[in-house]
This record gives sequence, C-alpha cells and structure tokens, in this order.
Amino acid sequence: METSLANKAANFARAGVPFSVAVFLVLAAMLPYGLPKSSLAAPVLALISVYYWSVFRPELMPASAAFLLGLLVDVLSGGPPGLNALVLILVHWAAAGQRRTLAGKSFAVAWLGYLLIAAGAAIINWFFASLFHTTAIASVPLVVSHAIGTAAYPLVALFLARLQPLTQQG
Amino acid sequence: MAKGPRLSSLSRVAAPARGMAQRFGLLLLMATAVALLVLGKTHGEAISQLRVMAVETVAPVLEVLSAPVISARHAIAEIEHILNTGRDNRTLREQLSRLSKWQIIARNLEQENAGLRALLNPAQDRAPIFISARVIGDTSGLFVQSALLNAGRRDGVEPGQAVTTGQGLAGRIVEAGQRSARLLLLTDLNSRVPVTVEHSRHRAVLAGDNSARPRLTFLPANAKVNPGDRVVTSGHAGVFPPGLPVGIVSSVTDGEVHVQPYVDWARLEYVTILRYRAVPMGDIERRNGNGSDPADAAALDGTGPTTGAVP
Repeated sequence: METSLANKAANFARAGVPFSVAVFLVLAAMLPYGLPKSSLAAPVLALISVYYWSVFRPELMPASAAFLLGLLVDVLSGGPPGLNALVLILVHWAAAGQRRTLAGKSFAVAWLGYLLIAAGAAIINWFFASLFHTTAIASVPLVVSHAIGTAAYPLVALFLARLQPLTQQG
Repeated sequence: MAKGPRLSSLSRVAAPARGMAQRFGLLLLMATAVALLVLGKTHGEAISQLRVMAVETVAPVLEVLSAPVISARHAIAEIEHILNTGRDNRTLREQLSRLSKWQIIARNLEQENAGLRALLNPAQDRAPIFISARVIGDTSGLFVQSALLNAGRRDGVEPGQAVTTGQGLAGRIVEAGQRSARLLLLTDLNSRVPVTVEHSRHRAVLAGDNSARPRLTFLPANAKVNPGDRVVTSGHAGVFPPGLPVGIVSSVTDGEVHVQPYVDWARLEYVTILRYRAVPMGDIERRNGNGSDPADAAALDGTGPTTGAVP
C-alpha cells in the first residue's frame, strides 16, 4: 500500500517533468542577461517544448499544459493576453494530430514538422497580434524568431530527449 | 501515462468518449484564449489587474533566479574594467580636461540662473522622490518592450511614474503590484512621451514603434530639427518631470525624425523610479521666492548632465 502510494507520487512527479522543465526554460529565458533580444527565446522555447512533447509524449503535454504555458508567456511578456495560449494549443493540436507522421521516423522529419508547424504558429501570432493592436505589426521580427527557433530546435530537442528517461513511469 | 492491463481494456471501450471529451476540452481552451484576447481589448484594465496578480506570484521566483545572473554580469563587467583600465584612464583624462571648462561655465550659469529666478519668482517644479529598483525580468517580446522591476506599491511605485537610468529616461511604469512593477520601455509601440527638442525648443511626442529608435511625432510643420539635437522630456501633461534627458536625434528623412535613446538597453540593470507630481495650481500662488534652489534643476535632471552629450 505504502509503496504503491510512493509509486503514484513518483509517477505524478515524472509526468510533471515536461511541463515543469518548460516553465523553467521560459523563466530562465526572461532573466536580465543584458544581452539584446535574449528574452525573445522565451516564446520559442515554449513552442519547441510543446511541439516536442506533443509529438513524442502527448499525454505528458496535454492541451491544458500548453494553454498554461502560453498564459505564463503572455502574463510575463505583458503582450496580448491569451495570444500565446491560443498559439500553443493549436501547436499541440497540430503536432499531436500528426504524431504518426512525425514521431518514430528520422530526426529530419520531426525537424521539418517543427519548421512547418512553427511557421503556421508565427502566422497566427502575427494575425491576432495585428488584430489586437489594430495595426499591421512588423512581420520581420517574427520571421527572424521563427528562423532562430528552427535553427535552435535540434539543440533543444536533444536536451528534451535527454529528459525523456526521467518521465518513464515506474 | 502507461495504464495497467486492466485499465487498457477499459480504455478501449472508453476511447471514443475520451476522444470526444478531449476535443471538447481543446475547443473550450481555445475559446478561453480567444475570450481573453477579446477581454484584453475591451476590458484592458481588468485584465491588467489579473496580470499584475499573476506577475506578483512569479516575481519572487524571478528575483531569486536573476540574482546569480546579475552577479555573473558584475563579474564580467569587473574583468572588462581591469582589461580596459589603460584606455579608460586616457579617455577619462581627456574628458576631465574638457569638462572642467564646462564646470566653470555651469557654475556661472547656475549663479546667474539663481539670481534671475529670485527676481522673477517663478513656480518651482517639485523635486521628485527617487525609488531604486532592480530589473528582475527582461520581458521584451515581439510585440511588447518591457521589463519587470522588484519594487511595487509598497515602495511607492505607481503606474505613470518615469523610470530613468544613469544615462537617461528608460520609460514609464504601466503596471504596479505590491512588490513588482512593469516598466514599459520608450521603444514600445504604446509608449508616448511629451518631449522638447533642445536648442529649437520645439515640442513633440516621442512615439515608440518597437524599433530601437522611436519616432518624433506632432512636430510643428516648420520645425527645424537636425541630427545630434538633444531631446529631453517637456513635462507636459504633468506625468514626467521636465528636462530629463531622453536621447539624441539620429536621423531626419522626409519629415521622419528618429531618436536614439541615451539608455543602453543591454545594460538595463538598476533603475530609478521618480515619484513626481506637477505643482497643482493652488500651490503656485502659495509659493514665495524661497524655492530658488539651483540644485533643484540638477535633481530634476536625475543624473546631472550626461557626459556623452557635451560636444
């Protein structure tokens, strides 16, 4: 009885690893490093986290977790409330929906999937942000951040893959 | 989560129902996000209050996490100092000889100013109270240029107050919780600062556009503005003290005037928040001649003259 309770607690903690790590990455990206534009990494890291886990372990990154992660980015950045939440739910939905195509194949397939889904996310982001501010937002920073995110994907994915054993249920 | 064998047979039966519940949940979350966006637009004040509350809970975590980052930055800056000592020494000597001339001029002007003020008995701007704060979060995103500070209402911070660094105006407070506040940078899309172009004394509004160099708007049509002109706060609207250094006109093309702020955004670390209220009309009549303290003007400057701006 006691062991099963401990087991349950351990499993619960393991299941929380992807979300907790994503929250930590977002917070860490927003620290004042004194480097120009370093905070732009926060939404990108959230996006990669949601995409990665939605493809490889969708049960550990449910839509509600994606929503909360997006809300955290929105609250901290002071941007349009709910914007990142909406984008990350859609990323989760798209990535989890296509996981048969994306997971289990070569790494390049998952990377290409990220490129496409994140591009869609950038377009949705731009559209709703422009609607919110009732002005066409400059699109160049979004394109640049998408390019950087795609370039950084392998590195972050490698790090998240390292964490995957931690999430194995006992 | 991996289920036991007993559960998996159950989940096979429940799968369609669960799928539907999941889809419904997804739609519900999407609807919530869209509702937040709409509310953010129509009820910005209420959403802002919620955001302040949320930031309040995260701020202590950011404060703890940012401490080692700041220490590391200090260590790096220290090493830079040591490496650059020789060069710095040379430039400082040059500056010193140049500025000592300015000091004489400034002293004379100060006395002259004090004398003229005593004659004219003008209304004094109230000296602001300074609140120091540390930047605990660099939260600039794609659409918002802001930072989180570790001071809030309990320290006297209120929305609207001007925020400066040693170099010049950084922006203003837009949201304040009990122990944290959000600083909206000059460069943000929503930043508007009433300014004066020195020399010509033209008034204008410095409008952020998310680029590094905000634009001067509402300049009079016949205004003559040249690159290199200093831009300071005008004190209009009574929100900011007048005379705070803001930046230098960097380019004038086809009526588009851009300003390079003095603040080095990469070094935003400690800031000074100014508690300032413009003098109400009743106060002006009550005042009588004893407020001609020349230090007042220097205090309003926040930092005194910035060395970089002296030709």
